[in-house]
Amino acid sequence: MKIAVVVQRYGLEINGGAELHARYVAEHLARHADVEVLTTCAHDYVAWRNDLPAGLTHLNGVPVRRFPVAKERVVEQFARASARVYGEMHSVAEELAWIDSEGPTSTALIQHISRHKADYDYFIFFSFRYYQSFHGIRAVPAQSLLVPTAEREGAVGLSVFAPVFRAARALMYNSFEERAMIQAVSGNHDVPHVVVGIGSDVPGVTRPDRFRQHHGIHTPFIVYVGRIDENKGCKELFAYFQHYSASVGGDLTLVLMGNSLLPIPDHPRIRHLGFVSDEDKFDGIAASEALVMPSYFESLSMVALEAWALGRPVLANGRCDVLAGQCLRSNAGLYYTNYREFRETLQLVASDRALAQALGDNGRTYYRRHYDWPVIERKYMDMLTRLQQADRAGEARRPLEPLPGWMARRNVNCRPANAVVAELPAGPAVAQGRG
Amino acid sequence: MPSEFSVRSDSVDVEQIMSRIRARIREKRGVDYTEDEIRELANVKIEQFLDPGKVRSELLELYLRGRSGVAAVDPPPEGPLPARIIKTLGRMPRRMLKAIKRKVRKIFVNEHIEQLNYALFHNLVVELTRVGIEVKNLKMRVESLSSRLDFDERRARAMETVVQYKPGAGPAPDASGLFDSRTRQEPRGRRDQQGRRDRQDRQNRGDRPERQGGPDRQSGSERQGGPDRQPDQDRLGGSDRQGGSDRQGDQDRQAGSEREGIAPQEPLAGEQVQPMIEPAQPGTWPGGQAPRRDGAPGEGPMRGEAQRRRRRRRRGRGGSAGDQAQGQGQGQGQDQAPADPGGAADLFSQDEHPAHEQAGPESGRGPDVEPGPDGNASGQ
Repeated sequence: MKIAVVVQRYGLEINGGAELHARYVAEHLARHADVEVLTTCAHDYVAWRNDLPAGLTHLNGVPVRRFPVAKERVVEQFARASARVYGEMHSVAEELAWIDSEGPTSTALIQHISRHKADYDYFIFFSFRYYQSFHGIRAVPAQSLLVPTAEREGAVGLSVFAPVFRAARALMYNSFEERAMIQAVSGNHDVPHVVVGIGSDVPGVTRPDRFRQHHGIHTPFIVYVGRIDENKGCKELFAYFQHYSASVGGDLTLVLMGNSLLPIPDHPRIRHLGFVSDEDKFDGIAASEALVMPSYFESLSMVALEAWALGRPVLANGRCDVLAGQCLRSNAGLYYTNYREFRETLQLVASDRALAQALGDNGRTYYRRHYDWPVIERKYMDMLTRLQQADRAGEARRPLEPLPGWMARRNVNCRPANAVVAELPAGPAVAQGRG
Repeated sequence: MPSEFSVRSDSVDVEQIMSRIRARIREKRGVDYTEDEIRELANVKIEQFLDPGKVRSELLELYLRGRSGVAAVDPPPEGPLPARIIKTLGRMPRRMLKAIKRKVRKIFVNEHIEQLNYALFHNLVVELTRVGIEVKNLKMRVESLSSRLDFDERRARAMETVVQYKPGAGPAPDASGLFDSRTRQEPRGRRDQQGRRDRQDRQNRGDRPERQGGPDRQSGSERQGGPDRQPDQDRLGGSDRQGGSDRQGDQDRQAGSEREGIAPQEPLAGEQVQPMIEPAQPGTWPGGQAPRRDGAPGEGPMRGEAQRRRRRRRRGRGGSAGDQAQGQGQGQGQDQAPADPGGAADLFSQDEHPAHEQAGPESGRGPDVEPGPDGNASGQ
């Protein structure tokens, strides 16, 4: 079976969520099938500049074929288009223009997919919102699997994506909340799907003492791992933690790992370590009292899964449906929706060792049951095998809905995407996938 | 800090823990709004504020009525252009005509014009509201700036007085250097002498003779609280400019306190030291007190100084000239007598009377009030 993994960027040093997800899946599926990665020459996700050479290379044993990006992203143009389609009545033509301005507009990549579709059995597209997924799935709907990596934000509500969700042969969701959201917006309940997520290469042995000694941290601490950004809820976390530190006291410290786009508060109990190695990251999580995950929007938090894999509890932002749902389903983390809950949950996790241990144990079990790599690989291969059997049996497939005609595209009849998303069902999906 | 929860480690149920945490928070703080409820309330408030229906509720109705009225009174005689085209194609089959009509209508007619117009009106109203708020804000800033300007002008005037003072020509100025104690607290004859000396000195130096000490001095008359005080009073409590009056009050209070700290000048032999008394003029505000807006006296920015003056007056009544001289020697103020032990007892009853009654001729203190600059001896 030959599989193409199609993603907007690809590389060892590219650590974006969906890109890392795609690399992990490609490398793990390469053990079971003939995998090739189709991607662009872009390295940065802001401008999609052609920083990497076009053509075929190999990365960790996986062939990678890169295609140039036709035009760089103009941020102002994209912002204008986003404001229009997210917040106002608009037309299909404007949504298509939004996809073009989002990028990466690599027509060469789409042409390759169209011309060589017979060379591949299936294409696995990552991130529904990017150019290559939208036009790629429309080019080869019968062979396409989609890993949407959808968050609860405006792009989900754009009308042009609903036919794509319905046309893909299968969807590989990251969470039950993501599935509920996409099914509600597109009505694609009959499309084969599985909630699969992603595993992580967590080391079997960690050295918490080495981390403490190396960074001179000798007090109990909670840890945040990831980009330190307001969009990730870090500003609120700083405010909450400073308030907590002032009102509760004690020596609990907040340790931050990752590049910062925010000024870090000058506080004796907040330590910023910057970008750290994987070894430091895993040792730090293992040494912590808990991992804190303040983000409002996540399709799947890999670092939360890593904390659970290492047996540490998670303190999550309860306003993120996915995180709250995972905490409830795993019984491995607490969550907060305001400062008072933050204070109570943090105090509980930091002071009740038995509870923290129990939460961590539950997390480890949850990870092994649902997110360990053999489980993930099996889920992907099961889906591919199922599709292959259906193709051989000649099962009827839903045809791809054509885009509206030239005139109809210009009718201003699409509702603001944010309004569409606001009406979608919200809240954690508690009933499914417990344990 | 030990946990107040007893959670069994082998049967952790996060849902249950969270509900217990929330129950505990409710117990601590009572029934409280959730974040979502607070956000909802905030949104409702903002919507009410910005909702065009609330800002001017009849706007949309007027608009729709106007549109329907126009349509009823003045309908287009031959219909829109697509309809006319279709009329000319009467021979074509009806279904085909309908199909063409639909297509053409899609080209020329925007069916969402009502929505667009409504959105336009909505945005206009929101923008107008925003602009209105901004204008109010700017007005307040202008008022604040004008009051600051007033303050600076008055301070500059005070500073000019200091610059024109010649050291060695008379008694030492006050410690702050902002006010000349002689103009206010000396007997008139002596001030005239001093004024003549100053004028002579300035003429010798070639300075302009304005703003010198003496009965005709403009700034001196302003400080007397006589009829010429009106311009200043306009800036005080009588003015509608609240910011200006507050700042002016601060300034005058500051000036008053500085005046109290002035080093006393030795009285000439046989000369009687005159207590500092404000003339009581009908229609003026003794002691610079501005009436409150509700008509109650003594609540203006000069209230503190007026009270101090009243206290000085009461003390002055109870002591002899010798006592007064002794009091000055003790540094209790130029025109102050030693404190009357019984003075404090009737402080409340005297404060109940308007200041001009206390300073009137029936107080029995004799001619201790300077005439105003217009020659009227208001206190006599």
